[in-house]
Amino acid sequence: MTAAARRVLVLDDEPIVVERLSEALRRGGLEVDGFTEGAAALRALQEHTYDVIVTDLKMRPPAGMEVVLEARRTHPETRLLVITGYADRETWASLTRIGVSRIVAKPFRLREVVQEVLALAQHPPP
Amino acid sequence: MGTPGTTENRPEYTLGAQEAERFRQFERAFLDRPTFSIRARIAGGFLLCFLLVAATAVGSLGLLHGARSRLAAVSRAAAMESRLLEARSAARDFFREGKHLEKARQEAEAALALYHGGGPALLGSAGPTELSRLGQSLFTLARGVAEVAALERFGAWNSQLRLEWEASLERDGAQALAVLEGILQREAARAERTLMVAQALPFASLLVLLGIIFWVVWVLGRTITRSLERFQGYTRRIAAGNFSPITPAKPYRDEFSELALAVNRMLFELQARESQVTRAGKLAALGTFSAGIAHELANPLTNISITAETLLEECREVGDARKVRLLEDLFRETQRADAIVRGLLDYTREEPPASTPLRLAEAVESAAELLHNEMALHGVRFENQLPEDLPPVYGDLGALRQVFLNLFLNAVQAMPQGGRLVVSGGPLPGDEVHVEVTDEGTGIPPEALPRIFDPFFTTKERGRGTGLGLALCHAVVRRHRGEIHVDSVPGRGTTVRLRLPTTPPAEEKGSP
Repeated sequence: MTAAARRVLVLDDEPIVVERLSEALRRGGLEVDGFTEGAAALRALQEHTYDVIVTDLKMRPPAGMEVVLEARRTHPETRLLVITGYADRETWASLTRIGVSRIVAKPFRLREVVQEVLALAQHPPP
Repeated sequence: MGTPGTTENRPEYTLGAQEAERFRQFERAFLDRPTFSIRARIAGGFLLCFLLVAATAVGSLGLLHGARSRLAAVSRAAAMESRLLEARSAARDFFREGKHLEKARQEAEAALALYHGGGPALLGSAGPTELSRLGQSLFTLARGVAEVAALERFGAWNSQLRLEWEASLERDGAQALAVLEGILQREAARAERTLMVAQALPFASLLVLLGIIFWVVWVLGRTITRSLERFQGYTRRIAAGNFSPITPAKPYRDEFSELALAVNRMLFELQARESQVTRAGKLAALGTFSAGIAHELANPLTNISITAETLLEECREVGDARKVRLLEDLFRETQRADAIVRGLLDYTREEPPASTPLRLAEAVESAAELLHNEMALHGVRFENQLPEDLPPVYGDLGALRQVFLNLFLNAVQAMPQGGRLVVSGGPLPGDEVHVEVTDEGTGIPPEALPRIFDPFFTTKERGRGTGLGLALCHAVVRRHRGEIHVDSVPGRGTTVRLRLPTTPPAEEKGSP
């Protein structure tokens, strides 16, 4: 992409997901930091400002939900995309309330998520 | 089947058409029998008692009347006899001592007068010839006495004539006396007999009464206690889990037949309930199990899928056609596994659906639209006969559309040679609507019907169905507080019946 490459944080306790997703996003021209543990992601969140955060919800604590809430608190402009095996209506509603931009159910298609992330990165919130 | 707007009988609806038909067969077996109710038998017994008492009373009256007329005849005959005896004794006096002739004449006249006055009344006790002989004798006696009196007055007597008259009068008197004696004896005996019968009658009628009472108490009582014992047996049998219906035990129909009908009805309802509860329990267990598998599979499937996708992209860039084909297969198969997992997740979703009022016709029409090409391809004629004014139901339009989509897909696949696919329905009493989806397809074999809602159960050929379609329909309808039934005749077609409430879900309705 152009001068200021958009920066994306990817968090999932499945290393393969982190790896494939990071590769695909980089091929899309994004700068990607991938994590398999919530604690590491929270530390990275303090050091950098991300345009988009892509995270799973269900994992060993600190889980994705904490990262989402922390990002919301410290970086309200960061766009959020949640990947989840669970997508019941209640979780969906509360995620939307928090301000999560996209929710993708597992198993997902790589191309789909890359397109979603690119779209979110290109169009920051007004 | 169910034409639009008809309201159907609710219990039959819960039974399902085949079970309802079986139930009706047993019902007919009872109803076809002639009615002979216990009530009628009790009434009949008492009527017999009444008739017996009435007959006894009438009989007694008749007998007493008979006895009285016998006695009256006796007294009449006795009066005649005493006059006759008086006349004879006076006549003898006259012939022996020359006195009392006038008295003899008077008594003979009196006896004749008695005969003329009451003679016909004696007809019952003496035969007509006997009676006329009596009259003859009395008449000749009276006339003889009168002639003797005339002869005496004019003194035209001789001893020869006297002897002749004496003998003649004696003979007439004896003759009349013999008849009277006969009448007296016979009538007295008859009166005696009549009185004896009158005496015995109450005892005889008591005996018959006893018989009737015995019949009512014993026979009827035995019918009742035997029926009760039979029903005790039924309750034990039902408690042990044998739900086969009660069959008629008697050639006629009585109050216990009505009870049997009610019990049969209950049995069928219980059976329907039980199978529903069993199915619900089975589905719940399968749901928990499948949810676990689905969630465990979601991660490895994602990993395989996105890895295959990555490789596929790379091979496309390099232009390795063979590997692209292999990877496309790999990718497609993960998509297929993915579809099953998604289906399972949908199926096992426990949450109540969104509840906005929606038109079922909309769900039906949008589902049919999605399958428009598929239907056209197979020559399936789709007819939506849902009435315009069908009350809205509360629920999730997407989920209900999915239900109709699955049902239509099944129907289309069951009619490879084409046919009619009809959606009909209407309101039901008690804030409910019913919808029927009827096809003219191959139908479902009866042995498959009980498992039709089980996940992964399919009657389709390998690879055509996941076995989740109807399971999902069932889950969605249950989440909408409704019921779903399938009736099918192999070779004729299948009807899926839905019943959904038109009231909002409880938490919204119940909020203050």
